[in-house]
Amino acid sequence: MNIAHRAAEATRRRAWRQGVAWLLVAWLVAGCSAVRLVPDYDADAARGITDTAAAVFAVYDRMIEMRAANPRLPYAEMRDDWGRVETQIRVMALREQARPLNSDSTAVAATILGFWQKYREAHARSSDYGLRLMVIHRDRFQRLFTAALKAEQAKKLAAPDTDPAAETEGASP
Amino acid sequence: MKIDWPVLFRDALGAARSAVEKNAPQIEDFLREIGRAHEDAIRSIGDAYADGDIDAETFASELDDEAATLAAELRVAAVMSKAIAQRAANAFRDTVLAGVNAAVAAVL
Repeated sequence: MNIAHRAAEATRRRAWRQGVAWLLVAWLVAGCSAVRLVPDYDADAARGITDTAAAVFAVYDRMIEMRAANPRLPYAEMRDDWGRVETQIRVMALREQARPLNSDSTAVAATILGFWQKYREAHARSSDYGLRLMVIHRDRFQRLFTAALKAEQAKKLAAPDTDPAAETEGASP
Repeated sequence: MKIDWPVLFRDALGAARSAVEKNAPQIEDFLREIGRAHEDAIRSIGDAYADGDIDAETFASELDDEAATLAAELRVAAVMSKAIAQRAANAFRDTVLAGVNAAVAAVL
């Protein structure tokens, strides 16, 4: 009777300990979800940034060559390029905006779009685009696209088992 | 079930600190880089104005655009900081979870 009683008590205590342990596990799983401050790195988004950057630089290179060879650069000559690339920048901005926790990259994309529209409007208004100003604007876009790409690559820093120091090297588009 | 909480928290803090120490210098490098680019850009705009290639209105507008560009670049530093904070917080959490799970497994 005594032995049976002790065995039952031991079983009850073991069951109680196991119950507490499982409760602790359940609490940890439910209550300690991983911290999320930035979205995951998105290779498609990074490709979208470099593709859009390439389109912007191609238009600027063309404009710089044309303006260097001519006294003026009429807007009509470049209207299609301005429009085509603006569409591409809008798509890039939309992609950034659609991702959760992505306000910083969204702001960079919005800045790029805002400048593109501003410089397009100025070109349309004066029907010329000064060579010196064009070079300044091209370099500014270069910095902004580099920022957009670095912001995307910085998201790799959040992953626990990567070596982002190596991955963020040479991030310029 | 016995959990050595002081050791567990020491390990967790060590994991978080390691995540920050390893990656934080990237932010400093980046800030230095954008500082240099900003200086170069301001110099180019100033030279263009001094040479008469842009008028006063354009000069002022370009300085505004340059400020907006710098603000956009600083957003990258914000992403880096958030990503490093996420990595550190999760390293802390993972270490605590692993320690508690090991103690629970010993009981089970």
